[in-house]
Amino acid sequence: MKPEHKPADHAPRNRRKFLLGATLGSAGAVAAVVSGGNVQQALEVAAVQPEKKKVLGYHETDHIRQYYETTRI
Amino acid sequence: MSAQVSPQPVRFDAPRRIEPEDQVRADFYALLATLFYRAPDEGLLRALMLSAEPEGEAMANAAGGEADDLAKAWAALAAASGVVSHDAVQEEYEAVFVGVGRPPVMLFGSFYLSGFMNEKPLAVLRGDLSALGFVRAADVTEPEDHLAALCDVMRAMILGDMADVPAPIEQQRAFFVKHLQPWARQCCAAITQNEKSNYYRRVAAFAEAFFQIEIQAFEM
Repeated sequence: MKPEHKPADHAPRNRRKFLLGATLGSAGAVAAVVSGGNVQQALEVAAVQPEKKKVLGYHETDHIRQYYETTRI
Repeated sequence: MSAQVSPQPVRFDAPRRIEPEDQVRADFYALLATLFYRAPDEGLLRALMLSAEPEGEAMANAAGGEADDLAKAWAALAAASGVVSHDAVQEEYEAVFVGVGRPPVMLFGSFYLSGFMNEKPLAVLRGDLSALGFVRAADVTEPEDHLAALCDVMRAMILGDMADVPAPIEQQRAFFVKHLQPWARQCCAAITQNEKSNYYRRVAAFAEAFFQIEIQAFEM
């Protein structure tokens, strides 16, 4: 007999609930700061960058980049 | 024509699906990466100051422990951002993280993990980064185990910058547990305890509160 496990799909739900609750009161403010353009993104600040597109034979165009921007919350 | 759809094709015309809680995490990591990489400029300081949410703390108090800690740390950082200049924070950054000769506070993981810079932990990290699809940026001199770089790797994994789909939580957890969790809070404590820290005490407290939430969430 297997020991009793939480159903697997409960973990993501608990995790989501916990994260949204734990960042309540600061998440909106951080999002506002980050989306204001004062925070560097896309690994501009890091010593590493994704190797991606090469592997996929895909080149990110301005159009696609712009589109991705609209999908960000 | 076949109506059959192959399972989960990588489609570039489809938006990356980022869950709200993951977008929040990505934002926190993006901000931390920026703050640990260099002193915030005037624009960022102003944005941080203006971001203070009067109702934030009250909402957090209603929500409970972790949210309370994080909201308080955030409120303190926002308040501090309104009373410092870029020049002062720049001076502090250099005094705390650069110094003369040996930096008073190290932002590199291998220092905390092995006692030295550029040691075995860095070699292990390089292997893991490469496997995840990261390459070393050509124009950056810092080693990859800089706290800012690791925060940015987490951000990139959450948003799926390497493969255009978010990295699975399991992968994010494995990276965090191996490369950030063992030393990030110790590093924050070192910043807090350093006598030259002032603004960065608030940054460290905010970072620590967030890392604590990540640790708990990854255990779920």
